[in-house]
Amino acid sequence: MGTIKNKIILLVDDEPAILQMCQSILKENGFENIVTANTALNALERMSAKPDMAVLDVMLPDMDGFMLAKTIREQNPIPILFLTAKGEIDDKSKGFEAGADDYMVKPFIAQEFVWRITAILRRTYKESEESSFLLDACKVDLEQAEVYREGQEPVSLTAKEVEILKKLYANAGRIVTLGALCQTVCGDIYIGYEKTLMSHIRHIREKIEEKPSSPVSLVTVKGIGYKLILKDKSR
Amino acid sequence: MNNIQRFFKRYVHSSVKLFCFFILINIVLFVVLAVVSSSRGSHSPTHLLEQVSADLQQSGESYRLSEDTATQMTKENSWCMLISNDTGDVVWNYKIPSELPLHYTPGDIAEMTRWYLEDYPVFVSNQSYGLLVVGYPQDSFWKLSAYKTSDSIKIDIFGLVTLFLLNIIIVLILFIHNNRKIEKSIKPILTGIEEISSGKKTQLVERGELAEINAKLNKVAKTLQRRDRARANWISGISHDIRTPLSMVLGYSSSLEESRDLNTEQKEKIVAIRQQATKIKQLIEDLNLTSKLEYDMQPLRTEKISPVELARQVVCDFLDSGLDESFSIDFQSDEESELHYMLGDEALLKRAITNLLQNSIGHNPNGCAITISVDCTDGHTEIIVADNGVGVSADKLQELNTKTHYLESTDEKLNLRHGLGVLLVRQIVEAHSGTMKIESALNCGYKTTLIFDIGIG
Repeated sequence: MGTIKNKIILLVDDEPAILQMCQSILKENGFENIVTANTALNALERMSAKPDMAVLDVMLPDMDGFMLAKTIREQNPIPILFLTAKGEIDDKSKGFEAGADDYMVKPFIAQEFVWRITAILRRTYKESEESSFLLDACKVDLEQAEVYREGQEPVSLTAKEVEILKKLYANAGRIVTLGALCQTVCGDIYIGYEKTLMSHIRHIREKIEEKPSSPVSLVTVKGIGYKLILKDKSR
Repeated sequence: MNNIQRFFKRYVHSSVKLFCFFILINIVLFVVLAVVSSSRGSHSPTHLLEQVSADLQQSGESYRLSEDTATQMTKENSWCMLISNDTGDVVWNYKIPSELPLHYTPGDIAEMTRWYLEDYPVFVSNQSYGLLVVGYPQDSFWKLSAYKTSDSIKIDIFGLVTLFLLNIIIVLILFIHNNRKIEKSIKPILTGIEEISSGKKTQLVERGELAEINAKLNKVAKTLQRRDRARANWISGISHDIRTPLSMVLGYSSSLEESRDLNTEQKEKIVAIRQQATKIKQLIEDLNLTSKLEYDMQPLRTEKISPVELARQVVCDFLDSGLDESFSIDFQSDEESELHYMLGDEALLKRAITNLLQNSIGHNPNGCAITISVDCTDGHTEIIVADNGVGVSADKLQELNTKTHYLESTDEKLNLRHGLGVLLVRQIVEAHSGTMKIESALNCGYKTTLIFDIGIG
């Protein structure tokens, strides 16, 4: 966790009040290295600080945010989150075309803003750092595909189980729908795969839960999906 | 469209009726004319002949006319004579022109019966006492004589009837052709007017005899569209401008909510601020979307979607965003429905379900159990959002189902309590050619059923 919070985040918005607010929200949530800019030009100058991701407004006084995203990514292919008042589907599609990793429409809730930034950073920088996490009963290492329990031999995870856990971990603390999980496990055609998914989940529970029959880490949300609850309460 | 067809049908009907009426009038007039013409009986030679023959009184060898007949004959300048059948001599006459002979051979009689007597038109009647001849002044009558073979007469009659029918057919063809032409040039105009009245876009071809009308209609349509667009843009602009300040309210309040330095009372206040700001956010988003749907500025992005997964994602968002414990959301679906896809706009449908859930939560501050179920069978998708909360009274339900929303109403009395959310759901459902059904009773929950028929597989 700590390493993600050390990442440098570039915030670009022409409204100083919004910049200040985003900065304070991120700081409260442990992100320390924040660089801000209120124009595109200013933002390009701040690229010298080598940010690890950028949060961009679309309507900037000197340049379109989508253009800015392209320019930034030409210099350095960092992940980009658009944070804008333009909520139309067309704008969103333009945003993703410009290479956005995510798109948030103002107004937004502080927690969601933090989740999304965390998720983007984790997705981008996971390989090197965030491959293991602590659960109530054990420690899971996705890189090694193993589960460690105190005083026991490591238990290995199958490839599918790792996939499922990766998906759940990327959205830890939030529900992942059955459809989304099936999609992770077997590609596009997720429909009709739910029974198989359920058996995978059962196997994972046997490996990570204290009492697989009454799970506390990998919980079911009936009819909807599953949720992974980390021991670390920081989220 | 139906109206237009009905209009032309009625027009054709009335025209045919008019045409029939016209022919009938002609026949009647013809008959009247014939009657009138033949009623000039007192002046007709046949009539005079009859009168004379009835009037002629024999006294010995001589004959005498009554005073009346004599007066009339004098007035008409006519004359008469009686030729003996035996001798061919004129046995009696009245004012016979002096140049006429007083003896006639059968040949003379045959000729005069048929034609003229010395250019005098004469009319003949054979009586027991002799051949009565009435004559008129020269050039006062035409005597026609017609004869035909019976075959030729048949052809003539046949020809006349055919000619008459042919005339009628030609007139009808011309009439129908004309009608078609008018229909062809008027139909686009009527269609255009219908489209304008239902708020659709219209563009008529400005060509032909009615080009001017078409051009004017186009202008009207354009003006209306521009006005609609301006209104939608205005709403869109306002909602855009509200977003930044609202971001501050929502962002700071939600961030403060997490703070550990606040006491319970302060926290409650902050939660209230955050909740209300969320409501405003929802409201401006609804307003923007509803005005876009209203003015057809939001085209559907139809794709193949799984209704079950779509509903799951909505529920998931609700559960993740920290639903109060007094609420529960139960999701129901069966295996068959999970295998089902439909065509639809994912974002809009999600919005519809979100609004229904929000509606249930918003109207039940003391909490309620919400059930959302998705049922798909043979290309038929039913999404039901039901709660066991306070519900609405029968009157209010009636209002929800029938009354227009204040955004759509044009009268002065605005019913502002009517939520925007329901209107938006209805618009989204209608954009997907679906139907929406609301069932509720006071204190017995509220249930909305969305039915779509655009499923696949």
